[in-house]
Amino acid sequence: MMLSFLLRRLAVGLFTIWGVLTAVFLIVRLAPGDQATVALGPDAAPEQLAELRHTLGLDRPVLVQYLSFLGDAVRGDFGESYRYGRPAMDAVLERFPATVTLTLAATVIAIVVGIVLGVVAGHRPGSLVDRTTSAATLGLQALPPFWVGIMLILVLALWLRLLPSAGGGDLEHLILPAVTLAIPFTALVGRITRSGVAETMSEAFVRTARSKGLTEREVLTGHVLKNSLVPVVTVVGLQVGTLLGGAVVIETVFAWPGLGNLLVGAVGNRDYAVVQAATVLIALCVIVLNLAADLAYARLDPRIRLEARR
Amino acid sequence: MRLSRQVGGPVRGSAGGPVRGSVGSSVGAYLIYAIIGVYVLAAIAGPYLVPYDPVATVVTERLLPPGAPTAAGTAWLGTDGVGRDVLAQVVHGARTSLTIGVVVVLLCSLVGVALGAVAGYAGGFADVAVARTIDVLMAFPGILLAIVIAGLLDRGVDVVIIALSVAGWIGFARLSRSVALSVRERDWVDAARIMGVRTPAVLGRHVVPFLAGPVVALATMELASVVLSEAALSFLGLGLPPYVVSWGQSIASGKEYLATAWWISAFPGIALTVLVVCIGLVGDRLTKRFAQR
Repeated sequence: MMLSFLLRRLAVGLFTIWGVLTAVFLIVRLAPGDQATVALGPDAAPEQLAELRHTLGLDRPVLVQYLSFLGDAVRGDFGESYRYGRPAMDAVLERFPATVTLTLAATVIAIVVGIVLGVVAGHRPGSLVDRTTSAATLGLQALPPFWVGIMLILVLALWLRLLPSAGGGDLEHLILPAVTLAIPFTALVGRITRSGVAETMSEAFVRTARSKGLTEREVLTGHVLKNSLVPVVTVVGLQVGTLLGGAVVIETVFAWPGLGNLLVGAVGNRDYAVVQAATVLIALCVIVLNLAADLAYARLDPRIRLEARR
Repeated sequence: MRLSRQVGGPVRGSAGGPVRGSVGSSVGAYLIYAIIGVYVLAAIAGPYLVPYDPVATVVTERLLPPGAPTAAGTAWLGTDGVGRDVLAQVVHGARTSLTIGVVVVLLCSLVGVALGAVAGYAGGFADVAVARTIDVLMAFPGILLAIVIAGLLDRGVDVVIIALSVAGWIGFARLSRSVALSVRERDWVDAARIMGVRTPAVLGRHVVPFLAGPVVALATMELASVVLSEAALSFLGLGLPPYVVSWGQSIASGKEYLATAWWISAFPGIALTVLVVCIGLVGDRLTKRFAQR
């Protein structure tokens, strides 16, 4: 039962990867100017262009190009970056760890702060604290992250000189981009925790726990929190991929030397090989993360396995 | 998220009255609608009241602080790195943001509702095809797909609209699919089918009307997110041509002068944030209202 669920999920995942590769191929095809025109510039002689097109295989029929793209992509080969003069995947993989660090840091911040906010708000539903926190999280979720990032640079880096404004590598440089990336996610985790806690607070077992003389803290940590965290786990699993997308923009704001920064630069320079490699790698991460999340829930909750059989 | 509202207990306000803890009183609600109204007015009439030339440069009036006098009057929100008025950028940017936002949401809701209703009602291959397409699009997180499309194709408002619409219909499709799935089993749909009503007419008359409320709620939420995405794209310098004024572009141009002229980035960002938060609050109200049914 679990095995057939796993196989079905894997098949969908493989199909999705094929779809992603096809979409990426199509977008580059639709772009004005092929790799040869980009590499040689607008003043290139027609003979030179024709020669480079032949070397790159761009003079073959589209279908042949598509199939050879798929074949190469499966082996992680997206061609040579004309800007970096080396395989695009190498350049992309080199930047990948910085993006993973940023995303993980943001996830940790969001989970810790979000759960604390959610518990504080949900503990007494309808109270002033609850309404203030709920309004705040609603607002935080809507903030434009890239602008918040710039304002944090302005206040914390330029005015108060507490943290460096841009660059990457060490913990000091990580704080601002990670906090910026975490803000909307923190608000989301906070809202979900709040509704979970608020709901659990009215359960009979909470009354029992209180009446047997437990302190409020013991009631919260021992009885309420555990029961209200299931939806949080679900959302975190599904949203970590979204954070990767957010990181693309945030890295540009803070000049964080990650994949997103590389990608946005490559899009601007029309470095197709790097754009394809980076996009596919990010999409692959999302597919794998979602698959892992799906499997985890299916393991925890048999109803999901049955649902998928339809 | 809406569970807590449905469960009984001390959470609720008085029955029938406004739910406590929701977006404030009716005064607050009117305030939100008034703010959005100001933006709509600014988008429609603002450009006629506040003239602005996006390519003009006045070197003598560079980086003036808010309230400084200029040859044309007073720069209430200061001027940018080439002497252009920031207030005018904010007003003209409202038009760009709202136009693109509304067009994208209309496009996405039409496409999404149509695809979702057909997928949910017809099932079978149509359902699987839509589901797998959504899987592929969802693999590109956030605005990644829009970045790649808007960045690689020619610049233009139309390209930005397409780039933001490519994945924007997903929410509408999922929503209308689930509604169509549940409505399909109702008696009156069976009755219509048995009487020989054609499928498109059944969909239009008996399925789509149930979607109106939830779709409006979702469209409001989507509007907020499209406005944000457009600003993010423009911030990255992708998509819109340089002569189209947009908040994202202004924010990006001010980043260079952050240490000396904070107002260039700050004010367009505040305009963007207030608009998105207000639309989000309206969307939240609508979602709660239609989710309770």
